[in-house]
Amino acid sequence: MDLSRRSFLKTGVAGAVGASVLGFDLQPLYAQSSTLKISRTTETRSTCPYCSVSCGVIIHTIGDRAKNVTPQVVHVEGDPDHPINRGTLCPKGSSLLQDIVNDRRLLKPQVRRPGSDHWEDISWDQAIEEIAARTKQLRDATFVEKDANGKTVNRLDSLAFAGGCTDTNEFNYLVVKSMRSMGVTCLENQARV
Amino acid sequence: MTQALRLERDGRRRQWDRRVRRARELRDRHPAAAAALGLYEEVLKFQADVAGDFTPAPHGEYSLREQIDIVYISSQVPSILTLAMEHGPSTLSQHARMLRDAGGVCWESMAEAAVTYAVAEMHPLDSFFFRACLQPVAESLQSRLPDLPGYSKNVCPACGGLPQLSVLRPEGEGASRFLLCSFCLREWLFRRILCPWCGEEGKEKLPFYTAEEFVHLRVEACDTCKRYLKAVDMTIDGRAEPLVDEASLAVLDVWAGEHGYSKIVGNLLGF
Repeated sequence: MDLSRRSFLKTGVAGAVGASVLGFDLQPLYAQSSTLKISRTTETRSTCPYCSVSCGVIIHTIGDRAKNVTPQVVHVEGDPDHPINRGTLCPKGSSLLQDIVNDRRLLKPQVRRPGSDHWEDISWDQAIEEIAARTKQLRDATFVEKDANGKTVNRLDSLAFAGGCTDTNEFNYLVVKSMRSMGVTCLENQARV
Repeated sequence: MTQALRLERDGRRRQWDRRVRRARELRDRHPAAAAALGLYEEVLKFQADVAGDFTPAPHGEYSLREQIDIVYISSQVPSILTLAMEHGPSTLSQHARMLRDAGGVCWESMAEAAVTYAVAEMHPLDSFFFRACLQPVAESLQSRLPDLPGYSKNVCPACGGLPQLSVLRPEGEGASRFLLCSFCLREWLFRRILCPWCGEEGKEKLPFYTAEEFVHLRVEACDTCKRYLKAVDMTIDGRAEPLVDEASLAVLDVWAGEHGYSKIVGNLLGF
């Protein structure tokens, strides 16, 4: 970006004291400037996680680093510069902000007991315990070492795993390793991107 | 003049008339900038007259700046001087009087300078008059040029001018950014999250600032080169006129200056 032929000095708005370069009174502007509620926003390019189209998005995050405010995502829009979608988004992509900030997001595990009509909170430890116990029980009972033709298959067809497209690559790696090592074949990570 | 050319010229005139109306509308909303907007409204009327008067005959062999008739520009100078004496603040008005006394030969050489990139070295008190005359003429000339798809540089594709401001226009579920030329008022597509002065791309270095009081304007800043432009967000206020809305929020220029930023190019009003 060669702008070397432009020798603009870094001039400000002020000319004479209290007046702009053309002579406008700056006092009302200084007074108004001190009352403004200014937000500082940064824009981050990212990719919509939902499907293999992988539309580009721009995420707006508000945060004034100096005041130690926790950065907060306030807006997600289509990325107009992205060659795939050029700023367009489907309804799921358009609502990505809700993915991040909606107060009805699940923040803890829940369980619905057999025959029950409602979900109950459950701790992470207890959830992992129960899942592990049931998984072992199921695998011990239904693991198939050899198929009908006597070929070694080491399959666990009675267990399926469903992931989600918003899961990270790191999480998906662990899913694949753990599930495949147990013999699971029905595995859907919805990993598209 | 052909019917087609007349229609185009009338279209350009109507665009200027919209800007005049917008300046009038914004004067009530921004009392701290009322004096500046009052002058700007008169300048826009003058520019509308020039646009309505002038028919461009672009010549493919020459650059846009080379095609500007300096004698014609000089002939418009007396009107803008009178306008400044009647409606401008005293500093500007006195300067206008001085230029009036300097006469036509002086105006021609100043117009020559204003047409070149040397306009950067002119004091805003001088360049004000010539930029006011040049904008409608240059805009008329560039309006007949075709688009350049794929052009992505930081200077105007029509005249090489520096950007005055950004415009965000709806693009799908987002907004495309256009830069608006300080010389010929052409808009051209430019990437988001990229500094138009130094090319910085790091997101932490490219904040934008908005005031809660008027969210359709932003200050797009770069913490690497400390330059900024104001951006008019048409996805928030579709009735904004970028040139006028940008000028009306001089308070954001004051704020930016107080926070260590300087504008890439000052606007016609010196902000």
